[in-house]
Amino acid sequence: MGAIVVPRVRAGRGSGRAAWFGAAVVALLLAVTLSVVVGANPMAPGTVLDTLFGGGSAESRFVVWDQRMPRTAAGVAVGAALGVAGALMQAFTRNPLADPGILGVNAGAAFFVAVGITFFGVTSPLGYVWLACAGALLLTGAVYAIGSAGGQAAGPVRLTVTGVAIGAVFAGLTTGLALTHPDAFDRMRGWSAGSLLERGFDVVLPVLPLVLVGLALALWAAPGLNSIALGPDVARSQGVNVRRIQIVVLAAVTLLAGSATAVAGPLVFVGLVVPHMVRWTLGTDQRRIVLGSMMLGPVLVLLSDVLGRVAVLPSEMPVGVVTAFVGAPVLILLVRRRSATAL
Amino acid sequence: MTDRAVTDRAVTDRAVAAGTGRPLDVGRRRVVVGIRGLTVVIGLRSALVGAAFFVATLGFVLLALTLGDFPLTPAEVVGVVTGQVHGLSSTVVLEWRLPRALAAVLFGAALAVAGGIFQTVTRNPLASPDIIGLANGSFTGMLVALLALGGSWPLLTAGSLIGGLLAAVLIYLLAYRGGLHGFRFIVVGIGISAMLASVNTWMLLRAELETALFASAWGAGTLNSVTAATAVPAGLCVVLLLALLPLVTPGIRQLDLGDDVASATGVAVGRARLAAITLAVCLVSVVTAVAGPIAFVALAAPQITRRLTRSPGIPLVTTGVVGGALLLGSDLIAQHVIPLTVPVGVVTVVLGGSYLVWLLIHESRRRA
Amino acid sequence: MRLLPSRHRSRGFLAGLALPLVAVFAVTGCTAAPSSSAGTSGAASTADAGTHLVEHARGETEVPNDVQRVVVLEPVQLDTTVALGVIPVGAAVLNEAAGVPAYLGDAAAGIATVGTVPEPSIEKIAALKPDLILGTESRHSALYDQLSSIAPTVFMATQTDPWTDNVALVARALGDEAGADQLLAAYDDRCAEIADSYDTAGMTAQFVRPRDGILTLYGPTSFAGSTLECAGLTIPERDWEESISVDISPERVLEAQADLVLVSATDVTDDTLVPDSIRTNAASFPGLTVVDQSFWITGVGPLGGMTVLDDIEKILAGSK
Repeated sequence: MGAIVVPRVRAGRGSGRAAWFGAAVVALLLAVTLSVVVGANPMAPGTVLDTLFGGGSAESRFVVWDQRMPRTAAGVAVGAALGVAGALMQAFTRNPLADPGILGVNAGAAFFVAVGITFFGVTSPLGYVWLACAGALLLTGAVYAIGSAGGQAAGPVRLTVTGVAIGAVFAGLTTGLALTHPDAFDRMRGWSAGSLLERGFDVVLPVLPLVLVGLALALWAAPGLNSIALGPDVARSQGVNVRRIQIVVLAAVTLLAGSATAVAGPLVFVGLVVPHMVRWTLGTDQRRIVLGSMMLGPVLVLLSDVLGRVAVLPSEMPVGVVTAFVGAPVLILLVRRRSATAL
Repeated sequence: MTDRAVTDRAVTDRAVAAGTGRPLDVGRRRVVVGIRGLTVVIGLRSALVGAAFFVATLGFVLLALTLGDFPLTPAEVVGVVTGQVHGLSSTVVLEWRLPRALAAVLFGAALAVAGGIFQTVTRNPLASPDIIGLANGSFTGMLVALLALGGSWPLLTAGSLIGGLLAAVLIYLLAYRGGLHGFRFIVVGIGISAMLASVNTWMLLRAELETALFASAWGAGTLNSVTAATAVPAGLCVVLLLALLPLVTPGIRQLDLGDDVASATGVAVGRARLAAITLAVCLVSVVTAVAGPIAFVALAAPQITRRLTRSPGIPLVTTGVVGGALLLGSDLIAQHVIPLTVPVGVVTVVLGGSYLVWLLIHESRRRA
Repeated sequence: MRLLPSRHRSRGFLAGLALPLVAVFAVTGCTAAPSSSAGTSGAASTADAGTHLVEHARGETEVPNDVQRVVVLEPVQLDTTVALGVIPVGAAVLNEAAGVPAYLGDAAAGIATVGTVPEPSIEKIAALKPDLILGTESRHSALYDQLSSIAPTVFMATQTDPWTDNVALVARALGDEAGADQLLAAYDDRCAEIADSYDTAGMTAQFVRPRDGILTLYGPTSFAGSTLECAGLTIPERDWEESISVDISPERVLEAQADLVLVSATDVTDDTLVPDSIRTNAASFPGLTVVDQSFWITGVGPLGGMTVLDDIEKILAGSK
């Protein structure tokens, strides 16, 4: 598509950055608070506070501790993971429209979940988590292996094309499987919408180590990505080991996007939009973008989740459905305001 | 050769020699077909590839007429075709199998050509009409017709057409800002597409299971509901639209060389692009209205063609032939190879994607 | 290469098909044994040559009076035809791998599948040489002309209409309205029997279908709900939004409380299929039972209704 991100340095004075991160922390706290206080079952904030400190009725304890708290934790983990994964993908492919899903993460996770439901009778979110993780990791590995077949490190374009092709194949297989097995279809249509329902602590805790490792790798690779954004040759001349950074970045993306998809199902827009919002307001320094995405990602996911809880009472709209409605207008607004050749 | 064709060739060679990066290939033979003002240039290799795929398509059509769950011997099929056998056998062959096979060929050609146009105009090998929300918009329109309005077939077709075109118009309006720049267009397309996909997911979640299955099968792209009554009007539309191709191709070929060259040679860049995209949108809308959004043919067929003909651009006529063969072959597989009922769209995605993957592996091995 | 729509051809073809059929029936009518023992149909198996007019969602169709080979494309039609004793020669099923639902019994086990409910196979249907085809306008609308060219085709409007109406339509098509009346009367009688013997007046019941955390509560206009109410149980009041069911968030799980709470599952022996929200609040759901989804939700029809009533009786007996 020809549009390469031209690094544009925003007026990034120290105090400006500090203010941004301060505001981000406030936004995050606000999102977390909303996620605990607001829900499909209306409860007075006083009752919620009471329940948080050990009081409350059986119902309020169920709502706050069994439903909202695990969901909030999952939302934070998933949002951070997807935001950072998206930032890494966009920096790595130098394509502002890259999304972690193009490496085949979503397709692999969905396929393994479908196979598990159809042939092995898996029915609980905990079961989905392991299947989805395995599928995401295996498929991304395959994409990387095929994309870099021929001995050289996989270039971003090649990786993207390979990811799209392999992802499409597995998406097709998943659809075929689901359409011929109505029970599996019923469960898949719920999982593929991307949801935080029934994701208790027992679902989030096992993948938390993977998320943390991924975040650490991302922070480690971020400075190198600044150099790579100027072109691999420039980066090498600055002493950056391009190959190593690429491998670390891909590993980080796989861990982060795979874990997020394993927990919540495919949430496509978060990884796409959050880095743009960060870049627009904070500049193009990858270290700040990664950190900023880590904070803004959960905000987007939690706010979308809260919106989904109150939009269609007494039912709930899955967070995956809402993120597109929240993220797409932001993206369109961004692209209409800026000059058309860069985001 | 006509005057126009000579000028085209001269410009092309000059631009290439000026170092736009592509190797100068004086060995490429070209055939120019057409009258003054309306020309279609076909390279010799792509003509050969096109002919080969055409023959394959004929073979597929014969297979499609012979195979099926209604037991017919090849002798009976021949009898029907020569007009000697009548009755239910004749109905099966001429009114069920033949329209479906011909629809597969025509729809495949339409999708492939539309994809080729998109990829040429946006200069992106991954471009596909899907990015402008047509697939999702059609699905939304169809779901609304199915879930809210009762779902009889004409309603579904109308809903799908209206939904797709409304989505395309919405994207155009949102992306237009003193001109239509490709990048903004793509981004707005992605945004609207994603919103429509969410709407579809939500509607599918709330529908009853069998309704959702039916809708999803349509959403994957299926030729199962293609009958003579639906195939004939759609097929005619496709043929008419494809006949307009020679009007649009010269502009596209110049766009391929870059906007500057194109305007220098007198092609109104904006208008050429708009005309081409409009044609592609119409082609895809017609097919989607009847068969649902069949994925990957628009994406894969032009790429497969380009690699087989080893041409720098995308030869649109050959792409159409390849697309027709691809869709018909996929339909044969979906109907006769796979034991359970799957929509043809699933097969096209798996086949098209697998072929692309194989090509990628093959290419890298050649380079290594 | 003829690509003309087959509508006017089909009428000529129909005449060609009806004539030999009528002749065959006329000859065998007197000697044919009455149809099988589901006890209701086939009473008019005399030399009743000719057809009867059936009005349906796609207009009017002449249907032969003594239908022998029916193909059905919708579960409620399958259930009703089997209940009326006319075992179809072919049926479209929800799950091709699983085939015809088990609750229909051995009589139905041998029915050939002609594809799925959303996507039936025209050629398989034609290969069975049926004399009547039953389908649904909202699903099979595109296929009507092709089906009509095989055999007289009767379409019901949608599968969300009250199932009793669709039972009546199927019976009309088969020429056995009396049979339908008998079936529905038997169903009502059984309901009353259960209501009396278990004194269900005043007892509340709620049918719940869990879907990825969301709980779908089925209301009085749904198949399961209407059967529960027929048996004298009451579904707790709520705003059903003019739909057969309402989804609630798991945070509101306590709204599903009732004396009897029935949770549907694909495997009744698997306790993990009960959603977390209900299991965590087990104290609020004392009368919890897991029931089989294959007839409580998809078993729409007279036989399915009787099977559900049997289940209700078992539950009520067990809870006493």
